[in-house]
Amino acid sequence: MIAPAEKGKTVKLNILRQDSPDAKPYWQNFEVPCNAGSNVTSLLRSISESPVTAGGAKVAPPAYEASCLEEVCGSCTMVINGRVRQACSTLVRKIHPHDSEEPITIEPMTKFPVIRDLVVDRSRTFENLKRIKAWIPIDSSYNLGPGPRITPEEQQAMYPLSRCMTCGACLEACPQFTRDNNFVGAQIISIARYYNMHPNGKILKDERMEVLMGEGGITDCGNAQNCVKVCPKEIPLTESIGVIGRAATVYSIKKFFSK
Amino acid sequence: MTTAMEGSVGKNPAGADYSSQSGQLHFWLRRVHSLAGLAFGGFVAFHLTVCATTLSPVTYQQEVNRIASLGPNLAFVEFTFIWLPLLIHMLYGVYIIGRGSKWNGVRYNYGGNIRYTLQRVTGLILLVFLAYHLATMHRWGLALVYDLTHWSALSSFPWFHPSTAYGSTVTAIKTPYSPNPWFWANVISDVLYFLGVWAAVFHLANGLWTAAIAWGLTVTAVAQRRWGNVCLAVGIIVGIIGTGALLGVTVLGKPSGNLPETGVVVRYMQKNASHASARRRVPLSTCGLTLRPHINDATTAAKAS
Ligand code: HEM
Ligand code: SF4
Ligand code: FES
Repeated sequence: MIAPAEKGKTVKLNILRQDSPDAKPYWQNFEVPCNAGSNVTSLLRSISESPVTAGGAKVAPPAYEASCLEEVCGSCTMVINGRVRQACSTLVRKIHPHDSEEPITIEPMTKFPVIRDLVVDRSRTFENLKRIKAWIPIDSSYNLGPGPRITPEEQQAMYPLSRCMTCGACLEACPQFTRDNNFVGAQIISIARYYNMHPNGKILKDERMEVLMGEGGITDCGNAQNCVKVCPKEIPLTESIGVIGRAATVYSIKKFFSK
Repeated sequence: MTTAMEGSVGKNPAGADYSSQSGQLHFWLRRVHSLAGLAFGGFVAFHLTVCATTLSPVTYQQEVNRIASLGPNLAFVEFTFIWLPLLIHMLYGVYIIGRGSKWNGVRYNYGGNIRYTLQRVTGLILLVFLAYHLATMHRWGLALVYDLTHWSALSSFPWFHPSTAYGSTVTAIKTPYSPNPWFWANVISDVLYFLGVWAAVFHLANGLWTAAIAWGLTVTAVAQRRWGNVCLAVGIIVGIIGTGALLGVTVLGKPSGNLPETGVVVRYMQKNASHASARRRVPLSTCGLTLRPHINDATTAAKAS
């Protein structure tokens, strides 16, 4: 049911802004029109259309990212009312009590370097994907023919893991993932499990285990299990951590005695 | 296997080499830390059970005698099951806490996250409590100073003493300022003991839960919940035993409840009392505490006078 748009209704926003990667962050207040179907991305868009603060000052519009607008790309991930969320799928009426005078706070994610305002640099996740060889090796000088079959059961187990959009929410919420350490976080551990399950991806399993047993790997997980709670794609991240923990036990014994 | 992308693998923030052997040291040490925690947890459960017998002072003395009857072997047992695992677990635990994490139990107040935070908080409480525990039971440091200096000011400090296990335990937990259990300093001491034991119980039960994940015993959410219930049950049982021990040595303890000096310890002491040189060579210990023969001499002397 779509509630009718309410004329003249506004909502206050408190946005943490930062002009450049090294600049000091500062808060800025806005008041924007809001109707029953508004989400946070639509509020940010209204600001862009007329970037005037609540105090009436004309400012540069807050920079933000958005692409798919349907929670499948992850680019709009930010901290809204103190909690990491996708701005595009965060309905204002879900997080903000009707008629509340309190502003909605919007901050960039805290675990990644800020490029500008709400835009952060998530290249660390890409580096980590490369590090765990998040791919299936099929390069060859001749045609290898069709790949091995994957049973429907295997597909069903793998599909949820494939939904990860590298949004970084699980990393933002993880107390063990910080700006100055090198923990790879739940996302990478789960993706490694995904590629280890694939009949061709398995070829690189040992290499992935070597990485995951290294600095910043599975060892740094502290089992706070926030990741699985905040993941918008409902990926069984803690199960993946258990699977990789078990694989690490088996692999380390194998390595100790036969490598 | 080389791939086109390998050359472009960037540096992680700390610039560490992920796959080198030294890069995996942390993994191995962390597994040792886990084993040490489990071993020490076994000791804690045993120790609390023995101490719960303080509810029946005679049984407690018998248990202490039984432990003391290991004689010089006790030092070996203590080293393997108490000191070594504790030292490893404690040092590495402090390192894990110190290597940087961003606790966010208020912002993301999920059960798992609160337990994660409490695991670290109780670890730090235990660090302080274990030091206090050793200080009260053994006056570590002070006993050594006394040994070297025979400074009379220290002779009034009570400490654990296997031959009068019950009375000395109850007295040692009291501060040296007053034997009155409701004297404010003694109440603080008791509170510290309650805090310490319950911190240990939580830390142990939750540690059993996380260890099962770390080793890959529990994988699915259902299995983790099921094992969680077992850990909760273990926690409740050890907690009840621990509370029995706490009551026995604090509010229900009678400092004057010294039992007659019987049992192996005393016999052992008497056998060696005449050989001053034997003092150094016969380390008697129990419950992780080395008995200092001269205390016994002092007690015997006091009794005689
Ligand atoms: C009564 C004493 C103690 C017992 C019985 C105990 C037992 C345990 C156990 C069984 C674990 C689980 C290990 C795992 O997850 O694999 C654990 C974890 C931990 N312990 Fe202790 N411990 C004790 C004291 C301490 C102390 C004094 C510290 C340091 C301040 C400490 C710090 C930690 C930390 C940080 C963890 C979490 C490790 C992680 O999840 O990565 N513990 N402990
Ligand atoms: S696992 Fe979930 S929360 Fe983590 S990056 Fe992927 S989609 Fe986002
Ligand atoms: S814009 Fe793609 S997830 Fe929000």
